[in-house]
Amino acid sequence: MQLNVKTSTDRKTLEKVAEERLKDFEVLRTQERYTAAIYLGVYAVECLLKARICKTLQLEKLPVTYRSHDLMALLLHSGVHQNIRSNPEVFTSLKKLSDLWNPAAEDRSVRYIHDPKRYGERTAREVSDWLTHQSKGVATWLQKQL
Amino acid sequence: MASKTALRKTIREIENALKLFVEDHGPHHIYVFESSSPYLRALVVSDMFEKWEVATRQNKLWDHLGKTVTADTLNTLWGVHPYTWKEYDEDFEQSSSSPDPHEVSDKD
Repeated sequence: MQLNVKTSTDRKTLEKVAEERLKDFEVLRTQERYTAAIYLGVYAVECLLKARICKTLQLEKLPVTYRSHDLMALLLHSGVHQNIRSNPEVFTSLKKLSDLWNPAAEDRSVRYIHDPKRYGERTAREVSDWLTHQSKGVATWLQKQL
Repeated sequence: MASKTALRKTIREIENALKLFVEDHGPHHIYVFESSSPYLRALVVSDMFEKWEVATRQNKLWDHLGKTVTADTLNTLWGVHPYTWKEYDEDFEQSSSSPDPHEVSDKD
């Protein structure tokens, strides 16, 4: 394992990418491109967790070893997995997003779904809450941890 | 060994809560497994999920768990993956005889 090798992606870039993907989530949701919207929305959470790992490790660039899509594994290494417990609503939102991103069978992940209508308006609206709701949104909460 | 006993107790608590959720809706399968130790995930198979979109499945499951398991158990449970029997057959039965979430989690 290449523990001391860094990616070329720095913390500020990860934060900015997350911000942009959240905007894309809203645009695509409005255009009823729900699958792509959800894909980008949850990807923003992955970026925020990776940015938080950089902060915890006091590194500008993300180590290669954290090139993972597993949200809960990233949480475990982010330094905030204990803090999130004091916000049960946020923690539950993350678990719900994790089912979309890291289901029990990889093929069912939103990352590999090509059908634009696989998810409906209702799911996209719920995902919006899980991401950016003032009190239970994961992205909202993670942005405050950076 | 006390920790193994505690883990078994937590798994049983989750299994019972999920069983309560699906047992009146036909055949079901519940499998609780260690994810990033000591954290757990659960696979739930039931056709009661047929009528719900993905988000509704998650909301209803976590609402139920929030009322039926302790806060500590809820903190230990890091994911619940609901499947209809059709989805389960598509994802697991065609590739292997039984689901192996440990193996799946390694691919992430």
